[in-house]
Amino acid sequence: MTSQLELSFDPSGLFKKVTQAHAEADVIFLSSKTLNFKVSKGNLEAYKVNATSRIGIRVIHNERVGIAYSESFDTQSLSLMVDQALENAAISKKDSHQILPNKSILFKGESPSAWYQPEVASESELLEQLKALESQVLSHKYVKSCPHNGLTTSQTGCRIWSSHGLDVQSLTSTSSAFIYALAEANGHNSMEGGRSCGRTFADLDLNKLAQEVQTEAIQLLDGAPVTTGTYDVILSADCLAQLFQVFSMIFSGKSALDGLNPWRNRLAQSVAFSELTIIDKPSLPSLGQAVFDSEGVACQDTVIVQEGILKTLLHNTATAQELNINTTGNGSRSTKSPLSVEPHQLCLARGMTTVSSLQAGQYLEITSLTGTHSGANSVSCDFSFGAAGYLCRNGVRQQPVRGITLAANFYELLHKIAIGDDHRWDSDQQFLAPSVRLQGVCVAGS
Amino acid sequence: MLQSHIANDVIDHALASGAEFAELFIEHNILAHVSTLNDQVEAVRSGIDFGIGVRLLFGFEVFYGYTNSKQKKDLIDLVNQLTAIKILTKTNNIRPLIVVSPSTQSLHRLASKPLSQGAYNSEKVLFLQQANQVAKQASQLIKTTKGFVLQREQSVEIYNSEGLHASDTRHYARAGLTAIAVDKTQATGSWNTGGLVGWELQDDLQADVMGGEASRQALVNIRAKPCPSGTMPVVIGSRFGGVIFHEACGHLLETTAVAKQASVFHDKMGQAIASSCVNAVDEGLTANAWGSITIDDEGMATQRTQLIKDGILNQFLVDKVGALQTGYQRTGSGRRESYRYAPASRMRNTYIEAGSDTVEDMIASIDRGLYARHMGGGSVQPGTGEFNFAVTEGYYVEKGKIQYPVKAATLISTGPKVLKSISMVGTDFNLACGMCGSVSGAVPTTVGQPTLKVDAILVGGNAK
Repeated sequence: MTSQLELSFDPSGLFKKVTQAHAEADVIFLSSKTLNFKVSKGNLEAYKVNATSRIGIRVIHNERVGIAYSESFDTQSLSLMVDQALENAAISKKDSHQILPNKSILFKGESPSAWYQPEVASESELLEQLKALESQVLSHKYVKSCPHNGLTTSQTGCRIWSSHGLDVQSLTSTSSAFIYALAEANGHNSMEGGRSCGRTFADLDLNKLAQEVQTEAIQLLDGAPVTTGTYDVILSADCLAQLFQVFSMIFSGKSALDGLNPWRNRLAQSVAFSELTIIDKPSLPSLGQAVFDSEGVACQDTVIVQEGILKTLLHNTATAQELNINTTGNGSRSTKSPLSVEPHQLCLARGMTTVSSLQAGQYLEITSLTGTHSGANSVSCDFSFGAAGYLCRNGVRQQPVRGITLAANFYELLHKIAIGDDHRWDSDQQFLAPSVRLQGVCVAGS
Repeated sequence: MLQSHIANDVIDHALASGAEFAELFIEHNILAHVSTLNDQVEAVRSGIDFGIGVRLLFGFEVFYGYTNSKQKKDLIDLVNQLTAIKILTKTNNIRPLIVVSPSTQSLHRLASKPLSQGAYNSEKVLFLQQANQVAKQASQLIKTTKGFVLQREQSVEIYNSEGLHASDTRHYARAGLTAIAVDKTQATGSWNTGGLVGWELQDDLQADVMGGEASRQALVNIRAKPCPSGTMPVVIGSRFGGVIFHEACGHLLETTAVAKQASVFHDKMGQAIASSCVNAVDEGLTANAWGSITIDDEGMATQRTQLIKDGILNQFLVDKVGALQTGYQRTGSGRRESYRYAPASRMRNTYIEAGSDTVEDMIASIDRGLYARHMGGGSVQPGTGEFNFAVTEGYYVEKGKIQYPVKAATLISTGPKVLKSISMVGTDFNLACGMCGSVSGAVPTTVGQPTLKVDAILVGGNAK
């Protein structure tokens, strides 16, 4: 496999220039190596490799912030990057809350070695495994092709320095596979996909992935819309993760201060069903685990909603400073973007309803959502998505369903839910939640 | 950007390693982005992207790698890494590279205010502050605005083993404003425009149009009622309404899907796939339009591609690999977001051409339906043709009259169904810019259409 990733870069020249300008700064250095395969009917379709690095600087000069980045590492380009950041800062708003974090809250130590497990499988082994996955999905006579598939292994490194002496780094490895099945029979067709993620290829469950994708594509061949009306809905783990991802702005202290977040004035008030507890849990060992945020601040678990009551929003140093509270260690930025706020790894606590009770009576089990990037308004919290799944009764699938839309208001929906006593990770291994029954969702169908 | 002797040596090495085709895509991209929150400058950021993508073809197999280095050793190493898993059955003869075209004459008006000569940040901020002021003056309900100006200068250079050496510089500028109205609930409205231009975009920008349109939409949406659901006729507005054709048909005509028979239209060439009133085009020629190009990312001159003529499927969108796989001629449609992606067949400026109906006649013809005046984004599953897209400003129509604004509506259908359900096409043709995401990343594309009427489409709303 590829050689080990290195995060060697000397930022002292950048900080010298920043200090000469009477400014302070932090610098993010990202580096990655990736291998990717695609196959088509037993043959290699595409093979992709890369090894790239990028650096980004955030300068704070006279209480103004400027951002610049570069993929060129020659002295001239790096000098230009600092100049640009200083120029950008000169026209930004003056904001006394934009500061580098206090040293006492910075992460000290090493990121867990378990995050970085260089792939031991060879390229040819990976390729054969992807071919085997495709072959397994194609083994049913109704599956005509797997037009989209891929197997990727990545090593990613992140190192952050600041003019206050911060120097933290993390190395992570991930492996993932995805595949879509196009099924055709009796003049009908359907396409369903799925993915599996882990630290290394050995963590992937390709057998389960193949079975699920094949089964879904075939079962949904006969899918038809249900009658238009209101239905209770149970989303798959991936669909529930998608829904919370789309509306993650509702947890952001920055969007609250910007006047966009509907929860901006709801602290200590009821915002959800009294059994719902939402935690950002970077400590949980999974693919969203984190020990420091993009400012180098040590991560912590944060209870956002406890039994329906909004306890806090998520913050970075600037938003916390503005509200005179402590950062929750949720500063987020890439080399190219300004500082924002994001959850690390959302977790919904288990509820008290057994899964069988949750599945009582009639409901829609939704296994795929479409248009989540366009059909949601995170300011109003209204959404309308395309969907597919099954009409179920008492936990048993009665008929496949396609060609429907689900519409509701996310903010209101959080009050109308029942929460199961199970726990499920999504396929990306970054969102942990029980089964949740959403009540009275508007469904458009036939 | 890359010395030709290095390009020649790398390509020769790739051919000697068995590749039947080798291509280098060198990209230098500078970017400047200003964003505002109300009348304050929220963030200013800028940067340089640089990288080289190496594409090798072995039959239909695509090997692609990229690096930030322009050193010959690193590029040779990349070729070696790519070919390491290939069991060589033959070694191609090394051919001296013939430089056919050292530069490319732009088809479009050259930028008069390119980013490489200045960021013009003060002017951009002033414009956004003016647009914010217009939006805030529209109503006290407009509490917040968010604005942006993006400017980008992308220089590309392409060498390939067929002797091609082409280069191009593309200037992009885009500006937009989102207004947020707050009453008992919150609602948004937005407006943006852009082009294949430098900051001379400023000459076409009007703060009163941008601020006025964004606030008008937000104020409509703040009083909008839940949208009725069901299958009904829908009148889809011009400009970004063209996203319906982009999703319902455009993606299904890309050889990326056609070659794998993963498009419902893969075997429909020469057949009626749309109502006879539909004529549709994809092209890169419209002067300085957001989706225009001079050459595609495989170095081929852009062209006008008549996708549908009088409802009959006339052409696919074809890149180099698509041409090899399907036998159709290339259409200059090989595009990619950056050096990080191998090119694929993609859209440029894609639209349904003007017809002869009026918007008033279309609305008057509806007994119970929807007027979707402004559309948001959408997506499609080419294999089944199932698509969805969001309505960002819509009105419920009854007995030929607009009744009230509605919110949170999505339209879903399949490409084959909806194309045959277009019954009226208007005269008010307009284009709008967007970003299209697909296998080769996000590329600037223009969508467009006149207002048109679809007789039956499923509207998903939240009225109970």
